[in-house]
Amino acid sequence: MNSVMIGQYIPIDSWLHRLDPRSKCIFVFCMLILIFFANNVESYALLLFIGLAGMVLSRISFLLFFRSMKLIIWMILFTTLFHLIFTQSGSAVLETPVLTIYEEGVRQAAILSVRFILLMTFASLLMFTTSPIDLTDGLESLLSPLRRWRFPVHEFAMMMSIALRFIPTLWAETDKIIKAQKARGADFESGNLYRRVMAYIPVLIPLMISSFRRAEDLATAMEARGYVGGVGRSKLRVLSIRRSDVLLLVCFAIVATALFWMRK
Amino acid sequence: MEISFQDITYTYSTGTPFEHRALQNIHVQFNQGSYVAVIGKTGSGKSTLVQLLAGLLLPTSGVLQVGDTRIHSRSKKLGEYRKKVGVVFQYPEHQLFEETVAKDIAFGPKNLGCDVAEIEHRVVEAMSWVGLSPDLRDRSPFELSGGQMRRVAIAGVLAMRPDILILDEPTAGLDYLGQRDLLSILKRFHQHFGCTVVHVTHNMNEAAELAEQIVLMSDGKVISTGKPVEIFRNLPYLQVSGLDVPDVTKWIMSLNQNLSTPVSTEIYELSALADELIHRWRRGS
Repeated sequence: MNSVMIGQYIPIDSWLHRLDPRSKCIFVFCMLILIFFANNVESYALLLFIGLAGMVLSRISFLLFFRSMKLIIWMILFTTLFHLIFTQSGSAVLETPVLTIYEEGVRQAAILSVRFILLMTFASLLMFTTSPIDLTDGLESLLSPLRRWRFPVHEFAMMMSIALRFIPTLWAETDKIIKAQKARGADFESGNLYRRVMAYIPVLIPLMISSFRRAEDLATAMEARGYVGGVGRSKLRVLSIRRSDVLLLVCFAIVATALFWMRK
Repeated sequence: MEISFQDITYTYSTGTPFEHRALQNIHVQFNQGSYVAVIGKTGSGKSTLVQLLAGLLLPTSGVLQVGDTRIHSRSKKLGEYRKKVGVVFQYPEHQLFEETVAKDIAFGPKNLGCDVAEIEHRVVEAMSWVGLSPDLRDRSPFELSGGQMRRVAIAGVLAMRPDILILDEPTAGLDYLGQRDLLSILKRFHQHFGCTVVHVTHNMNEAAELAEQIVLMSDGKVISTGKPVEIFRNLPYLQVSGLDVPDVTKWIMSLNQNLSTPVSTEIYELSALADELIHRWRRGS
């Protein structure tokens, strides 16, 4: 477990970290939609600039954003290749005996790659700068209108925060069990696919057993402290919209207007 | 196999905000076949040290020499090396996975490539080493009590007959009798097979009683190493590391305040102390 996990919260202090999670969620969600409206070089340049500005404001090292791109690099390569080979309109850019690459193919490949990178950048910005607790509090608050239709908003948010809370724990547990089985001579690195998958059984079974044990312990502990669900439950930290949150949403309005003016 | 840590440093999550230097310029040597205790409080780097020795982590810098094997930051293919090292992690019962006790113990020997007869022989032998009755062999390990599960897990490691046996807090969470029992099993196993044992603990009593060499760690550094007598003589050193002398030593020290000829503080075993006191009483002093 020597690397930072994808989308892990980076606990430092910055303007972005201090923003209300609700305004961040709304901003990022709208940005993700906006990405699909961009359709020329200028509009993509604008979005890339916003992403870059976000990275600077988050005060998180570029290296970490770069690492989070590793997750989607295969998706980018695959779609690029796919478009270069199969999109056949526009004038030919490169002609070889086996394959002809067309202008439209290059264009589509470039657009999709930039879109993927933008999506990942904004998603990472949200995950890196918002602690899991803030994130679920924010979502609970944003989803609260659904209560009218009897959607269990609090329970949903609680489930999500528990799930997020246990990712690092289970990750550490997995790491420990892998090490223990390796020390008993288990081999995870050689053999064909079937053998490699089977090699993980000695890891998955203990992991499942310990997850059930943890879940049971947690449920008991929560009940023992009188947890009965969301009814009548108050919050220690109350979220509040501040001037900077309004500023963020104003920024979004400006970017959105500029983008619709720029696009063809 | 002689083990020597040569200027070893280990850093977790290099190049991220979570970067943490767990070990710093470690120089230490363990003799072949000796019983070594690594002591230090939580977070002192003991677990990282033994994971390096087990070939589960690679040093960030420095070289670990174990017999003919050299382990450094770019070492590959440690699978063969790992077969010579057995590790009992903290709460080893959390790694059980097979349907029956016997199958779980057989996992290690099977990975070593032993034939069926040899595996069977080792399973029976390991079960008797840890004091598990033979009629438990076809039970599911998950039906057993916590103490029995731990024995199954330890038997799974002993069945590999490692040249180097690493134990990370093996007695954690056991009651007093369970602890005594396990320690005596480990001691007998060590004496019988002559393997090198590296025992991580924060319990001074265990370290003093069993170890031939003690490594005292604090903040990722080896503060001091030597025979138990040499370590526990130096009280201030220990207290800086957040540790204390063994209970036996404390008791002898308070007894000595009332004696004209003090009892040696080099006694760490209760039976040896009892012998010494009876001996004195007979002499009439």
